[in-house]
Amino acid sequence: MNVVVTEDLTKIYNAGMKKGGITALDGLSLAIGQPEIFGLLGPNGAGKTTLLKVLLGITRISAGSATIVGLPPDNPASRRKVGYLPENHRFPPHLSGLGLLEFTGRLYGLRRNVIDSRAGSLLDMVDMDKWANTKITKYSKGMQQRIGLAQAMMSDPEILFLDEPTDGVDPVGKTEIRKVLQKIRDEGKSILLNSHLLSEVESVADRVGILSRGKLIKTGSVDELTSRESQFEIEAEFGNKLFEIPAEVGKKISLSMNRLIVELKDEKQVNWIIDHLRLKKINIRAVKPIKISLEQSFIETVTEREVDQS
Amino acid sequence: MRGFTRDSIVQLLDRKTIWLFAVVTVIMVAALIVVGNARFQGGPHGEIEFDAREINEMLGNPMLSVFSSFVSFLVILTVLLTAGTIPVMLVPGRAEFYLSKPISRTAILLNRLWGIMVAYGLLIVICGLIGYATMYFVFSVSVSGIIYLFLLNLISLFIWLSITFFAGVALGSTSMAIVTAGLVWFAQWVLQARELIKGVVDSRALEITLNVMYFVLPNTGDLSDLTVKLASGARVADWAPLYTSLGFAIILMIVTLVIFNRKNY
Ligand SMILES: Nc1ncnc2c1ncn2[C@@H]1O[C@H](COP(=O)(O)OP(=O)(O)O)[C@@H](O)[C@H]1O
Ligand SMILES: [Mg+2]
Repeated sequence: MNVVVTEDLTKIYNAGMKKGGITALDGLSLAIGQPEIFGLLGPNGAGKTTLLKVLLGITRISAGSATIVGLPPDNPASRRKVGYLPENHRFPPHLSGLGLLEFTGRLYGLRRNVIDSRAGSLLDMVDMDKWANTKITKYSKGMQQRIGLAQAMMSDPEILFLDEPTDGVDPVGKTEIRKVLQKIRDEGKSILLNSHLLSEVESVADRVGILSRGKLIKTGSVDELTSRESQFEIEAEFGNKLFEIPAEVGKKISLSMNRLIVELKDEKQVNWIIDHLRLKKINIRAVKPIKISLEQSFIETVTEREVDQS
Repeated sequence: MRGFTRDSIVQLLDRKTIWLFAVVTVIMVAALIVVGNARFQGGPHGEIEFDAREINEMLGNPMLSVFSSFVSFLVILTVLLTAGTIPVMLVPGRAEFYLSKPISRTAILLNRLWGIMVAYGLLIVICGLIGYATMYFVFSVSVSGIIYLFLLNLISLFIWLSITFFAGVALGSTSMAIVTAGLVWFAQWVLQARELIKGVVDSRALEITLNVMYFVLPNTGDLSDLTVKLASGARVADWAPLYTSLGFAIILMIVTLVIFNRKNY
């Protein structure tokens, strides 16, 4: 079953205003299954935070629909099995780390013994037990994000909404947070991870969606988004032998230093290349599909779209 | 109450607010003792000596009004100290913490209101009882209706909180919440003098405005007169200040909840 489903979800801020308002989400349809880590990528202002807020009922839907565990956001029960780490969060300043977890547990309506045992194991998981009784306001940014993750896990959620979890955290802190995310994934939780940092998403997400101006313009696995369609790199001992490729097969992009780069009409045509290399007695060392970084894919997708629009 | 009551108490202790209440109470107790031990001369040649206790008795227990003002002051102190509760809860980055939980917005606000009522209500009653005990020992007066005095002051706390909660949700700022409460406070002073104003300014429109405002706005001034009467065991002829003020607070709370439920954060 899908934990999160949205259909034509639209959010227009200040819709009543004369200027017509700001469209933050524009007919967004998305389904997140269980368990998976779905990375939502998009530049600042794309609507990532708005999507989470709309799903949690913090901001009201303008059009379309959304459900979490089958319930609409205006039903508080839809949030029972959801955890949330807001972007730029400011937890109640009078609380300690442990106090935050306990209050969170009570807000979820959990029983005392459940709260105690969960708070204990979560503090352990995010490696914050030493700081449990220190006020949150005294924590470093990395510690705040870690206690924030623990707080988001208090309800034993089926899905976790994380909004830029490593933003403003130093490299060491980032590594620690990434470790925690892996642990959470290993527990079989779904995560909706918002980020404008591609490397973050790339390293943990099973599936990625690219959001631009409120529209989901591409979704797919990290592999799908990063593999360059039918481009291959072939390493072989060409020596000074010529190797031509007929137009119906594809085209040669470059050949140098025994490295041939081709773009094929169809991935299966790679067999034609191999056959003919062997016919010419050229020794093949490696054949590999060319991948681009998610960053490149992301930039290409977003800029293509902007060119289309103008 | 989903942890809100406990949280309100934790917050109260964290802010060291309790010391402010302690200081006010100590001042009150000290003043009572000083006044209580004073000697007063009376008669044509100052030949009769009274102590404070006798004077209090002769004047019909004015100490009760003093004590009532002390409790009202604790209420005002609470209103000022808690005016920021809602705006601070709803700042960006913190609103998300509360609103992402499986509780309705209505429950969040009502639980918070209840939390403050319990945390500060307890503090007011404790400080009040210390003041009352002092008054009892110094002036040997016991007030049969002391329970009503506390009860009506807690109602008055609820009325003022409905105003700061409304302003906190609608305007989202602590200072605006305090200003709003101040304006209502000022308005009810004006309204107390409405008969006087009507006599001085001869305007039908003004008269109607004053009358309407009198029934719309809470009348905490009249309410405290009513409180003293009730506490001293006197008969209360006019319950209107209580009903209209309580009605005002309930309607304002409903309006506040409607606004809160419609807002985007
Ligand atoms: N409360 C708000 N009122 C008006 N506009 C808003 C509000 N919150 C966000 N926006 C606008 O909606 C768009 C999407 O913002 P946001 O969801 O925060 O994007 P992201 O998280 O991807 O950076 C932006 O243009 C932003 O200015
Ligand atoms: Mg954002």
